[in-house]
Amino acid sequence: MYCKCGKKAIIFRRYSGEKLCERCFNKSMIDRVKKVIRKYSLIEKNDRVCVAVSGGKDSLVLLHILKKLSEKYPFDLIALTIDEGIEGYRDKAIETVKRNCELLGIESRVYSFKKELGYPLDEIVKKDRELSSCSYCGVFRRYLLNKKTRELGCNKLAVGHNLDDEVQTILMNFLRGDLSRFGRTGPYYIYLNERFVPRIKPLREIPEKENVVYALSNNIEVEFSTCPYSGEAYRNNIREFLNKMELEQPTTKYSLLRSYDKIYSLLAKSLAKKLKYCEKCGEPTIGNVCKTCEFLEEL
Amino acid sequence: MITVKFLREDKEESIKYKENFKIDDVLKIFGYSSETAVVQRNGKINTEEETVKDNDEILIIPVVSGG
Ligand SMILES: [Zn+2]
Ligand SMILES: [Zn+2]
Repeated sequence: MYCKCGKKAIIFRRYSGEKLCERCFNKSMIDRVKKVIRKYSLIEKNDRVCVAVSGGKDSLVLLHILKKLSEKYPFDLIALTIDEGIEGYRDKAIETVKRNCELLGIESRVYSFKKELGYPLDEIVKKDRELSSCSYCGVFRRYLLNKKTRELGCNKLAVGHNLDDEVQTILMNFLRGDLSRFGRTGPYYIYLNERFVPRIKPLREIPEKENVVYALSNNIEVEFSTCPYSGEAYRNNIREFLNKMELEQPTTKYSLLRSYDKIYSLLAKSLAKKLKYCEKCGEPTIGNVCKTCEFLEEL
Repeated sequence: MITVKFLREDKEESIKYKENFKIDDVLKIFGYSSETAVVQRNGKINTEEETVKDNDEILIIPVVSGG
Protein backbone atom coordinates (compact mmCIF):
# COMPACT_ATOMS: atom_id res chain seq x y z
CA MET A 1 0.00 0.00 0.00
CA TYR A 2 1.56 3.27 -1.16
CA CYS A 3 1.09 6.98 -0.51
CA LYS A 4 0.16 9.32 -3.36
CA CYS A 5 3.79 10.53 -3.27
CA GLY A 6 5.07 7.02 -3.99
CA LYS A 7 6.44 6.13 -0.54
CA LYS A 8 5.21 3.28 1.60
CA ALA A 9 2.04 4.11 3.51
CA ILE A 10 2.03 3.87 7.31
CA ILE A 11 -1.67 4.58 7.69
CA PHE A 12 -4.84 3.90 5.76
CA ARG A 13 -7.67 6.28 6.61
CA ARG A 14 -10.69 4.16 5.86
CA TYR A 15 -13.03 7.13 6.34
CA SER A 16 -11.45 9.11 3.50
CA GLY A 17 -9.65 6.43 1.48
CA GLU A 18 -6.30 8.21 1.93
CA LYS A 19 -3.11 6.17 2.22
CA LEU A 20 -0.32 8.23 3.72
CA CYS A 21 3.42 7.83 4.21
CA GLU A 22 5.04 9.09 7.40
CA ARG A 23 5.91 12.51 5.98
CA CYS A 24 2.53 13.17 4.33
CA PHE A 25 0.71 11.91 7.45
CA ASN A 26 2.60 14.28 9.77
CA LYS A 27 1.98 17.19 7.44
CA SER A 28 -1.70 16.34 7.22
CA MET A 29 -2.00 16.23 11.04
CA ILE A 30 -0.53 19.73 11.40
CA ASP A 31 -2.72 21.03 8.58
CA ARG A 32 -5.88 19.65 10.14
CA VAL A 33 -5.15 21.15 13.55
CA LYS A 34 -4.32 24.47 11.91
CA LYS A 35 -7.58 24.33 9.96
CA VAL A 36 -9.73 23.72 13.05
CA ILE A 37 -7.99 26.54 14.94
CA ARG A 38 -8.61 28.93 12.06
CA LYS A 39 -12.14 27.83 11.30
CA TYR A 40 -13.34 28.51 14.84
CA SER A 41 -10.79 31.21 15.76
CA LEU A 42 -9.63 29.07 18.69
CA ILE A 43 -6.31 30.85 19.09
CA GLU A 44 -5.68 34.48 18.21
CA LYS A 45 -2.56 36.55 17.96
CA ASN A 46 -0.77 37.07 21.29
CA ASP A 47 -3.05 34.69 23.19
CA ARG A 48 -1.58 33.05 26.27
CA VAL A 49 -2.54 29.41 26.06
CA CYS A 50 -2.37 26.93 28.92
CA VAL A 51 -2.22 23.35 27.67
CA ALA A 52 -3.63 20.75 30.05
CA VAL A 53 -0.96 18.05 29.83
CA SER A 54 -1.45 14.73 31.60
CA GLY A 55 1.49 12.87 30.13
CA GLY A 56 -0.75 10.69 27.95
CA LYS A 57 -0.51 10.63 24.16
CA ASP A 58 -3.35 13.06 23.35
CA SER A 59 -2.21 15.97 25.48
CA LEU A 60 1.44 15.52 24.55
CA VAL A 61 0.67 15.34 20.83
CA LEU A 62 -1.34 18.54 21.32
CA LEU A 63 1.58 20.21 23.10
CA HIS A 64 4.05 19.24 20.37
CA ILE A 65 1.78 20.41 17.56
CA LEU A 66 0.91 23.71 19.27
CA LYS A 67 4.61 24.34 19.86
CA LYS A 68 5.20 23.89 16.12
CA LEU A 69 2.38 26.30 15.30
CA SER A 70 3.53 28.87 17.87
CA GLU A 71 6.83 29.18 16.04
CA LYS A 72 4.96 30.68 13.09
CA TYR A 73 2.06 32.49 14.73
CA PRO A 74 2.80 34.49 17.86
CA PHE A 75 1.10 33.01 20.91
CA ASP A 76 2.45 31.87 24.30
CA LEU A 77 2.33 28.36 25.71
CA ILE A 78 2.44 27.00 29.26
CA ALA A 79 2.00 23.32 30.16
CA LEU A 80 -0.37 22.83 33.09
CA THR A 81 -0.48 19.48 34.86
CA ILE A 82 -2.78 18.40 37.66
CA ASP A 83 -1.30 15.85 40.04
CA GLU A 84 -4.35 13.96 41.32
CA GLY A 85 -2.19 11.95 43.68
CA ILE A 86 -2.24 8.48 42.14
CA GLU A 87 0.92 6.74 43.23
CA GLY A 88 2.75 4.69 40.65
CA TYR A 89 0.78 6.30 37.82
CA ARG A 90 0.59 10.08 37.77
CA ASP A 91 4.01 10.59 39.37
CA LYS A 92 5.55 8.69 36.44
CA ALA A 93 3.49 10.63 33.92
CA ILE A 94 4.59 13.95 35.46
CA GLU A 95 8.23 13.06 34.86
CA THR A 96 7.31 12.35 31.23
CA VAL A 97 5.60 15.75 30.99
CA LYS A 98 8.67 17.50 32.42
CA ARG A 99 11.05 15.82 29.98
CA ASN A 100 8.83 16.83 27.05
CA CYS A 101 8.60 20.44 28.27
CA GLU A 102 12.36 20.63 28.66
CA LEU A 103 12.82 19.30 25.16
CA LEU A 104 10.37 21.84 23.73
CA GLY A 105 11.45 24.77 25.92
CA ILE A 106 7.99 25.19 27.44
CA GLU A 107 7.30 26.27 31.03
CA SER A 108 5.75 23.43 33.04
CA ARG A 109 3.52 23.95 36.08
CA VAL A 110 2.21 21.19 38.31
CA TYR A 111 -0.53 21.58 40.95
CA SER A 112 -1.70 18.80 43.21
CA PHE A 113 -5.08 17.84 44.69
CA LYS A 114 -3.30 17.33 47.99
CA LYS A 115 -1.77 20.78 48.25
CA GLU A 116 -4.63 22.73 46.64
CA LEU A 117 -7.64 20.85 48.01
CA GLY A 118 -6.38 18.76 50.91
CA TYR A 119 -6.67 15.18 49.67
CA PRO A 120 -4.83 13.11 47.06
CA LEU A 121 -7.09 10.85 44.98
CA ASP A 122 -5.57 7.76 46.60
CA GLU A 123 -7.14 8.97 49.87
CA ILE A 124 -10.48 10.01 48.34
CA VAL A 125 -10.85 6.51 46.91
CA LYS A 126 -10.65 4.97 50.38
CA LYS A 127 -13.21 7.35 51.89
CA ASP A 128 -16.85 6.59 52.45
CA ARG A 129 -18.41 8.44 49.52
CA GLU A 130 -21.52 8.60 47.43
CA LEU A 131 -20.16 8.83 43.89
CA SER A 132 -17.45 7.06 41.90
CA SER A 133 -13.91 8.33 42.38
CA CYS A 134 -13.93 9.46 38.72
CA SER A 135 -16.72 11.95 39.55
CA TYR A 136 -14.67 13.64 42.27
CA CYS A 137 -11.51 13.49 40.20
CA GLY A 138 -13.16 15.08 37.15
CA VAL A 139 -14.78 17.91 39.11
CA PHE A 140 -11.59 18.71 41.05
CA ARG A 141 -9.39 18.53 37.95
CA ARG A 142 -11.59 20.87 35.88
CA TYR A 143 -11.83 23.25 38.84
CA LEU A 144 -8.06 23.50 39.25
CA LEU A 145 -7.40 23.71 35.51
CA ASN A 146 -9.71 26.70 35.19
CA LYS A 147 -8.48 28.43 38.33
CA LYS A 148 -4.78 27.95 37.61
CA THR A 149 -5.08 28.92 33.95
CA ARG A 150 -6.64 32.20 35.01
CA GLU A 151 -4.12 32.79 37.80
CA LEU A 152 -1.24 32.18 35.39
CA GLY A 153 -2.59 35.02 33.27
CA CYS A 154 -3.64 32.77 30.38
CA ASN A 155 -6.79 33.44 28.38
CA LYS A 156 -7.32 29.98 26.82
CA LEU A 157 -7.18 26.45 28.17
CA ALA A 158 -6.33 23.88 25.48
CA VAL A 159 -7.31 20.26 26.14
CA GLY A 160 -6.36 17.12 24.20
CA HIS A 161 -9.84 15.71 23.49
CA ASN A 162 -9.82 13.71 20.25
CA LEU A 163 -12.57 12.70 17.83
CA ASP A 164 -13.29 9.48 19.74
CA ASP A 165 -13.60 11.27 23.10
CA GLU A 166 -15.97 13.79 21.56
CA VAL A 167 -18.34 11.40 19.79
CA GLN A 168 -18.45 9.16 22.87
CA THR A 169 -19.39 12.12 25.07
CA ILE A 170 -21.99 13.39 22.61
CA LEU A 171 -23.68 10.00 22.33
CA MET A 172 -23.52 9.35 26.08
CA ASN A 173 -25.18 12.63 26.98
CA PHE A 174 -27.78 12.19 24.26
CA LEU A 175 -28.69 8.67 25.35
CA ARG A 176 -28.90 9.76 28.97
CA GLY A 177 -31.08 12.73 28.06
CA ASP A 178 -28.65 15.07 29.77
CA LEU A 179 -29.31 18.07 27.57
CA SER A 180 -27.37 20.65 29.54
CA ARG A 181 -24.24 18.50 29.23
CA PHE A 182 -25.20 17.65 25.65
CA GLY A 183 -24.86 21.34 24.85
CA ARG A 184 -21.25 21.51 26.03
CA THR A 185 -19.31 19.48 23.47
CA GLY A 186 -19.17 22.08 20.74
CA PRO A 187 -16.30 22.99 18.39
CA TYR A 188 -16.01 26.54 19.68
CA TYR A 189 -16.51 28.23 23.01
CA ILE A 190 -19.18 30.56 24.17
CA TYR A 191 -18.24 33.35 26.52
CA LEU A 192 -19.80 32.50 29.86
CA ASN A 193 -18.18 34.45 32.63
CA GLU A 194 -14.99 36.43 33.19
CA ARG A 195 -13.66 33.89 35.69
CA PHE A 196 -14.40 30.98 33.38
CA VAL A 197 -11.51 30.54 30.94
CA PRO A 198 -12.60 29.35 27.46
CA ARG A 199 -11.62 25.74 26.77
CA ILE A 200 -10.43 24.91 23.28
CA LYS A 201 -10.06 21.48 21.67
CA PRO A 202 -7.72 21.68 18.68
CA LEU A 203 -7.57 17.85 18.27
CA ARG A 204 -11.32 17.47 18.21
CA GLU A 205 -11.31 16.17 14.61
CA ILE A 206 -8.34 13.82 15.00
CA PRO A 207 -9.19 10.14 15.55
CA GLU A 208 -7.55 8.75 18.69
CA LYS A 209 -5.67 6.19 16.65
CA GLU A 210 -3.94 8.93 14.66
CA ASN A 211 -2.65 10.52 17.87
CA VAL A 212 -0.98 7.19 18.66
CA VAL A 213 0.54 7.05 15.18
CA TYR A 214 1.73 10.67 15.45
CA ALA A 215 3.33 10.06 18.87
CA LEU A 216 5.11 6.94 17.61
CA SER A 217 6.27 8.38 14.33
CA ASN A 218 7.63 11.55 15.99
CA ASN A 219 9.27 9.61 18.83
CA ILE A 220 7.31 11.57 21.42
CA GLU A 221 7.84 10.07 24.85
CA VAL A 222 4.35 9.39 26.23
CA GLU A 223 2.96 7.49 29.18
CA PHE A 224 0.95 4.63 27.72
CA SER A 225 -0.34 3.13 30.96
CA THR A 226 -3.95 3.70 32.00
CA CYS A 227 -5.28 5.09 35.27
CA PRO A 228 -5.68 2.32 37.88
CA TYR A 229 -9.06 3.79 38.85
CA SER A 230 -10.34 4.16 35.30
CA GLY A 231 -13.39 2.26 34.28
CA GLU A 232 -16.33 4.31 33.20
CA ALA A 233 -18.36 1.28 32.20
CA TYR A 234 -20.93 3.25 30.23
CA ARG A 235 -18.30 5.05 28.17
CA ASN A 236 -16.55 1.75 27.45
CA ASN A 237 -19.76 0.31 26.03
CA ILE A 238 -20.32 3.37 23.85
CA ARG A 239 -16.71 3.22 22.65
CA GLU A 240 -17.11 -0.43 21.66
CA PHE A 241 -20.34 0.32 19.85
CA LEU A 242 -18.86 3.25 17.92
CA ASN A 243 -15.75 1.27 16.96
CA LYS A 244 -17.93 -1.56 15.71
CA MET A 245 -20.08 0.83 13.66
CA GLU A 246 -16.98 2.53 12.28
CA LEU A 247 -15.69 -0.83 10.99
CA GLU A 248 -18.98 -1.39 9.20
CA GLN A 249 -19.35 2.18 7.99
CA PRO A 250 -16.02 4.03 8.13
CA THR A 251 -17.51 7.52 8.30
CA THR A 252 -19.67 6.92 11.37
CA LYS A 253 -17.62 9.00 13.82
CA TYR A 254 -17.21 11.98 11.51
CA SER A 255 -20.88 11.93 10.53
CA LEU A 256 -21.89 11.94 14.17
CA LEU A 257 -19.58 14.88 14.87
CA ARG A 258 -20.89 16.81 11.85
CA SER A 259 -24.51 16.22 12.82
CA TYR A 260 -23.76 17.39 16.32
CA ASP A 261 -21.96 20.52 15.14
CA LYS A 262 -25.01 21.52 13.09
CA ILE A 263 -27.29 21.09 16.10
CA TYR A 264 -24.79 22.85 18.35
CA SER A 265 -24.93 26.08 16.41
CA LEU A 266 -28.71 26.10 16.95
CA LEU A 267 -28.78 24.95 20.56
CA ALA A 268 -25.63 26.23 22.23
CA LYS A 269 -26.92 29.62 23.28
CA SER A 270 -30.20 28.32 24.64
CA LEU A 271 -28.51 25.47 26.56
CA ALA A 272 -25.73 27.60 28.05
CA LYS A 273 -26.51 28.45 31.65
CA LYS A 274 -25.70 31.77 33.23
CA LEU A 275 -22.91 31.46 35.77
CA LYS A 276 -22.72 32.93 39.25
CA TYR A 277 -19.83 32.97 41.72
CA CYS A 278 -19.47 30.32 44.42
CA GLU A 279 -20.35 31.72 47.84
CA LYS A 280 -17.44 29.87 49.40
CA CYS A 281 -14.53 30.09 46.99
CA GLY A 282 -15.58 32.65 44.39
CA GLU A 283 -15.09 30.36 41.41
CA PRO A 284 -17.74 30.35 38.66
CA THR A 285 -20.67 27.98 39.21
CA ILE A 286 -24.27 27.35 38.15
CA GLY A 287 -25.67 27.08 41.70
CA ASN A 288 -24.81 29.06 44.82
CA VAL A 289 -21.98 26.74 45.90
CA CYS A 290 -19.69 25.09 43.36
CA LYS A 291 -19.39 21.31 42.99
CA THR A 292 -15.84 21.33 44.31
CA CYS A 293 -16.80 23.08 47.56
CA GLU A 294 -19.83 20.79 47.85
CA PHE A 295 -17.67 17.66 47.43
CA LEU A 296 -15.00 18.91 49.83
CA GLU A 297 -17.66 19.46 52.48
CA GLU A 298 -18.89 15.91 52.00
CA LEU A 299 -15.44 14.26 52.20
CA MET B 1 6.40 -18.40 12.75
CA ILE B 2 5.19 -14.91 13.54
CA THR B 3 5.98 -13.39 16.92
CA VAL B 4 3.34 -11.15 18.42
CA LYS B 5 4.12 -8.77 21.30
CA PHE B 6 1.91 -6.35 23.17
CA LEU B 7 2.87 -2.91 24.40
CA ARG B 8 3.51 -2.77 28.16
CA GLU B 9 2.89 -6.49 28.54
CA ASP B 10 5.44 -9.19 29.08
CA LYS B 11 3.53 -11.84 27.20
CA GLU B 12 4.68 -12.92 23.79
CA GLU B 13 2.74 -15.15 21.46
CA SER B 14 3.68 -17.10 18.37
CA ILE B 15 1.36 -17.88 15.54
CA LYS B 16 1.87 -20.09 12.53
CA TYR B 17 2.70 -18.29 9.31
CA LYS B 18 0.08 -18.53 6.58
CA GLU B 19 0.21 -17.24 3.05
CA ASN B 20 -1.70 -14.02 2.31
CA PHE B 21 -2.16 -13.37 5.97
CA LYS B 22 -2.75 -9.68 6.68
CA ILE B 23 -1.87 -7.67 9.78
CA ASP B 24 -5.62 -7.18 10.15
CA ASP B 25 -6.01 -10.97 10.48
CA VAL B 26 -3.38 -11.03 13.23
CA LEU B 27 -5.25 -8.26 15.06
CA LYS B 28 -8.50 -10.22 14.85
CA ILE B 29 -6.92 -13.30 16.46
CA PHE B 30 -6.16 -11.23 19.54
CA GLY B 31 -9.48 -9.38 19.67
CA TYR B 32 -8.30 -6.12 18.14
CA SER B 33 -9.26 -4.28 14.97
CA SER B 34 -7.96 -1.42 12.84
CA GLU B 35 -9.97 0.90 15.11
CA THR B 36 -8.53 -0.32 18.39
CA ALA B 37 -4.85 -0.94 17.68
CA VAL B 38 -1.80 0.43 15.89
CA VAL B 39 0.75 -2.08 14.68
CA GLN B 40 4.51 -1.95 14.31
CA ARG B 41 5.97 -4.66 12.14
CA ASN B 42 9.69 -5.23 12.76
CA GLY B 43 9.83 -1.84 14.47
CA LYS B 44 7.98 0.16 11.81
CA ILE B 45 4.39 1.39 11.75
CA ASN B 46 2.35 -0.54 9.18
CA THR B 47 -1.18 -0.38 7.83
CA GLU B 48 -3.49 -3.28 8.69
CA GLU B 49 -3.74 -4.08 4.99
CA GLU B 50 -0.11 -5.13 4.77
CA THR B 51 0.63 -8.85 4.27
CA VAL B 52 2.63 -10.57 6.99
CA LYS B 53 5.87 -12.35 6.12
CA ASP B 54 7.34 -15.40 7.83
CA ASN B 55 9.48 -14.57 10.91
CA ASP B 56 7.93 -11.11 11.24
CA GLU B 57 7.72 -9.54 14.67
CA ILE B 58 4.42 -7.76 15.30
CA LEU B 59 3.93 -5.28 18.14
CA ILE B 60 0.32 -4.44 19.00
CA ILE B 61 -0.24 -1.01 20.54
CA PRO B 62 -3.77 -0.53 21.90
CA VAL B 63 -5.30 2.82 20.95
CA VAL B 64 -6.96 3.42 24.30
CA SER B 65 -4.23 4.41 26.68
CA GLY B 66 -3.02 7.19 28.91
CA GLY B 67 -5.09 10.23 29.74
ZN1 LIG C 1 3.57 10.59 1.02
ZN1 LIG D 1 -16.52 26.87 45.51
